[in-house]
Amino acid sequence: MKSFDSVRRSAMKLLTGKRVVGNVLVAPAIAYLIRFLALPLLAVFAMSFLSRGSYGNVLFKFNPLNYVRLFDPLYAQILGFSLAIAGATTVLTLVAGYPLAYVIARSAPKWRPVLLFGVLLPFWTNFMIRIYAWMMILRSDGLLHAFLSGLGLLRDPLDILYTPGAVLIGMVYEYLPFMILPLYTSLEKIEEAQLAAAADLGAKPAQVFWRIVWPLSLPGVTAGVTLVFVPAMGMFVVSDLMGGAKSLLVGNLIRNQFLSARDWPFGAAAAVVLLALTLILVFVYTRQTRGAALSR
Amino acid sequence: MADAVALKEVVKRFEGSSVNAVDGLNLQIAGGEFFSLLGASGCGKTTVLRMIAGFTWADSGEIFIKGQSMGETPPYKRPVNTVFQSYALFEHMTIAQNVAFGLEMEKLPKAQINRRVAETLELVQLPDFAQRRPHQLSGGQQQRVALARALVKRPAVLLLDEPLSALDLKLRQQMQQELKTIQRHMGITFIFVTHDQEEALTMSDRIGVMHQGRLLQVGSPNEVYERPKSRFVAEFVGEINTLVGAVVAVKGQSTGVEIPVLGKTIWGMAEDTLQIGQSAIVCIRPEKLQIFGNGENHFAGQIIDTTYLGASTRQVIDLGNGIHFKLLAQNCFAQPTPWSRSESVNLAVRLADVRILPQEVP
Repeated sequence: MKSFDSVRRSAMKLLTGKRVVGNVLVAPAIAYLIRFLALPLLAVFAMSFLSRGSYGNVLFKFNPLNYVRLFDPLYAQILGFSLAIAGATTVLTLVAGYPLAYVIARSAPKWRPVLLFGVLLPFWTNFMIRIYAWMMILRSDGLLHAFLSGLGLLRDPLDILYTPGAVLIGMVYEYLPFMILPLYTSLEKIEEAQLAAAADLGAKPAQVFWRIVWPLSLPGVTAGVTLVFVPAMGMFVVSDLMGGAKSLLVGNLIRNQFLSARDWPFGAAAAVVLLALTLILVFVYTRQTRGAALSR
Repeated sequence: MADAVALKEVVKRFEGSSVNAVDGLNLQIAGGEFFSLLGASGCGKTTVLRMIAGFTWADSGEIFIKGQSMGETPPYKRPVNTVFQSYALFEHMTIAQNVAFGLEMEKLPKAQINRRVAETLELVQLPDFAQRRPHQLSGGQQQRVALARALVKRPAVLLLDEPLSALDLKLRQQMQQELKTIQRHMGITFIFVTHDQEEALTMSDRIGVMHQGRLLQVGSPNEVYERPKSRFVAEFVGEINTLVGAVVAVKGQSTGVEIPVLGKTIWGMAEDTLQIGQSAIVCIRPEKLQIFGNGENHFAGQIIDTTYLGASTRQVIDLGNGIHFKLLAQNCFAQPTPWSRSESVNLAVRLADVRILPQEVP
């Protein structure tokens, strides 16, 4: 009798409890992630150990050499260049985004949504169109050239487009909002009185920044750096369109292996290495910043 | 010796406002004094504090700290420290780091910082909390840390912006006592901003009552309570019964005021000599009224409400024509409640206990 009761009770709990409702609600999202993230990732991982057939097909034959091939100086150079571009993009968006996020966070509350809207406004235009617009600006006889030569600062055609510099401009432009938004969120939480208190205790403006504002904004810095660095590592559209053939990133390499060279196993191996490398970097970085925030 | 703080004709108007937040303020605060700025919210008292701290600057007038004109000296160069209403502790630092912050800014040797931090945490009775973080502390404890963080700098003047308003009554009373003890012990000038008249009365050497950006009266708690100079001060500090009438007799400071609604003349003390015929306000504190007592002034009325408060009993007495007097009687002797509702009584108040104020022209 007693056991029947307890069974009935747990059955009721199962049907009416918050857990059931919660599970039902998250089930579609979980199914989606399994089908479109976990399974494809597994497929890519598995494929990276297979071989390429003579007609670009995939042969089910174990082949660890895809990974060995990545140690070729040519590919190592591509990886290094990608790291440099993604790193530079992250640093530049941080340096450019921080003051902007700070000004927005310290502006009158009624202006903040307007200013944030301004930050997000570019997203209303298609990404490709914005990149083409940048190409029009940076072209050797483009808008920037017209502007500079109009001022008499420049005579020769402009030599920016199809250089790594152009790739960097495009990437910083594209990822700036991803840096500003998390920075704004953590800067906005800093109480005005804490800044006043620091000044009151004898801190000069620079000391207020480095001792109070910066450490309190570290969660936003971590989020922003991750949100910019991770996608920047895999970017290929900007480098394709604005970097010409000269600047090849890992993203381009992977895409080329899948679509042009039709060496899917090698492309998969490059994708796995990119993913692993990015994860390791982000993991180490977040561990360190969290440690720094706590030790202060 | 120069005043610890002096304000000369200080005016502050906020952008977009048509009135002055602080309107021509003059004030001298002596070294070692416990001075309270008392007023309702929006009266300008916090703005005065922020101007002394240097968070905002006066539009005109001058602020002196220890005889030095402050002008636009930034907060970090002023010999004052502030205890904020919200405490404003640094969330990412431990309690010891919070308290040490101000000394690190002075670039003192590490050993000296550690010693002074430990001493100050001892003073505010939090010696065991050095390694905790602000969010792990109760409101009262955070309050003590905020105090320690400011006191450790040994400022010439400590500014306190409603520091006790977030604490519950019991803790607030305890902190009032402690603040006074610390202030006497260290000999630091305290400028204490509060809207709580009882807090101001119990803690201060002097009180400045503020209203609409102006200082209405500055004086000891006793002066402000017993001899208010205006109706606003009389009504803001403590409870009071007021009646409006016209002056009919003047004998030095003793002044007779005829009250039309009561059809009688009340005698009291006026600070300044008033003119016959001038309209005046009669102010009587509830505890100065006595049932069947002695005094130059008598009223007949009926008790319409009585509240037993233990040490005292509060009564409301109807004098007719819609005039109600509040009365506070000390229960000096153990006895069954002597006066009950609807009982007719005679009230008396001495001439010396009645204040006569000139009616302010609005």
